[in-house]
Amino acid sequence: MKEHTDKNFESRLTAIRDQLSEMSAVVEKQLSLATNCIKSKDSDFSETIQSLDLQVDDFEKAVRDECFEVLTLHRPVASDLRLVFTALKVSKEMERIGDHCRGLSNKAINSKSDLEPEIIEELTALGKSVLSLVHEVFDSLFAGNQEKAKESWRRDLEIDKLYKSILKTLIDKMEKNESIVESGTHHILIAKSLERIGDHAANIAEEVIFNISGQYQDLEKIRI
Amino acid sequence: MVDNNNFAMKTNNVYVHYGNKMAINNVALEFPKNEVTSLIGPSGCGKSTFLRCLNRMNDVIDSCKVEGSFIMNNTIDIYSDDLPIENLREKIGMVFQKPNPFPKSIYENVAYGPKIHGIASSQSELDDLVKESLHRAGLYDEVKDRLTDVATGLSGGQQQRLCIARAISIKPEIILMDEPCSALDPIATAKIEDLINELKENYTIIIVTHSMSQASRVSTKTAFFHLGNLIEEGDTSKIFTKPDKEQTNDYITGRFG
Repeated sequence: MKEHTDKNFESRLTAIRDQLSEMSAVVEKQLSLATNCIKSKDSDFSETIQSLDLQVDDFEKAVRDECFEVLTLHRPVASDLRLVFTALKVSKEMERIGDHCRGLSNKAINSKSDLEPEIIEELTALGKSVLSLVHEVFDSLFAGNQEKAKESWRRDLEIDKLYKSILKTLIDKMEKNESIVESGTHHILIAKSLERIGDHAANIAEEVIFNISGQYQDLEKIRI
Repeated sequence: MVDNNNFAMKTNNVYVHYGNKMAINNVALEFPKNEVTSLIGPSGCGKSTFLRCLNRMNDVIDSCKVEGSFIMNNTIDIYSDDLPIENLREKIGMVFQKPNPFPKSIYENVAYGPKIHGIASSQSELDDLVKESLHRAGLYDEVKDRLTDVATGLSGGQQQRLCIARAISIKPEIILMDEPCSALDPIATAKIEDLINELKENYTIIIVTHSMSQASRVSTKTAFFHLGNLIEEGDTSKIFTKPDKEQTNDYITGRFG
């Protein structure tokens, strides 16, 4: 795409893109550490995740303020308007992912280690799938790839299935062994946070498709 | 199936040359009735030339050659030799960039058209028509006590609304506007834009504007011209959110002048 004749406008749009890109890198790092916590329960990660979350919150505010100024001062239209609109919504989704990372890592670190290793492996696998989904949807955002975004949206459906399977396993285990109810509940909440992160990734995919096509598409039609 | 009766004007295969220089290159555009269509594009793109073809304003330029079909209401060929130019101008009014009231009274400015076209059969009918036109142009309350004052004493925005009142006094079907707000301040511009919105209930409006935000505010259809070519036309909301052509996107986002 050609550059704006208005250099100030161009540099502001570039700043929005750059902020979103940096924000996505921090969110991915946060999610990677949070996923590691499920198995390692390493409390050292907790502080890092909290501090990354503060960065994510700051990025969200910075993107919001920049978008507000661009809307006020430059009145963007067409592809520029879609970029601003997408940045506002995607940064909010990223900020929510950051919150879930903080919550799930706290739960993982503070829960007892009395669950069977297979359950922990399944949860870790769910975490890795979600991390890969988030990475893929960020790729689609910055590459402007609609097909990749649709693929990400579909992958969230698999995440939902995986979550339901873990939920059923954990409930079954807790019914048979009351002593694990506390840590079982903690791990249900961890799985729920991961599933919600998948939903936020799917929401981002919808925004990517809007950014490219100019329309919100009925993605239910592309369910597998 | 498209209802042809819904178009106030249909143009096809339009070419315009000034001497050897091509100004419009094979343009086809249709103007839906009771809607506002904006013609946008950089200076020299041909939008004003095209607008002026729609009421044969280019006829007075010797070097200008207009080709193509211009059909009004699906039946009237506006370039037909059988159609006297006065009759055409009665159906298609025009408002220019700079307000150009006659150096006459406010009343006479509005009454002039109906008089020469014989629209009013009595003085009282003419008075009513002047009053109604000034009302429709949103000017009556501001001038009702000084209708005999000279029109050039009005403010720029009032003069432009007077020109609109003058245009609608002969009850045209189409009003052409060539950058009608470019000489006006934001408040006068807002009044004209409000007026355009009201006028579309009774008239089809075609407006040339350099202001992208004005095009997005006032029109339901937008056509983008570049170097004499019609690049894209469609619903204004679509043109300003997701145009089909990259060239349109580049222009409306300010990526070329």
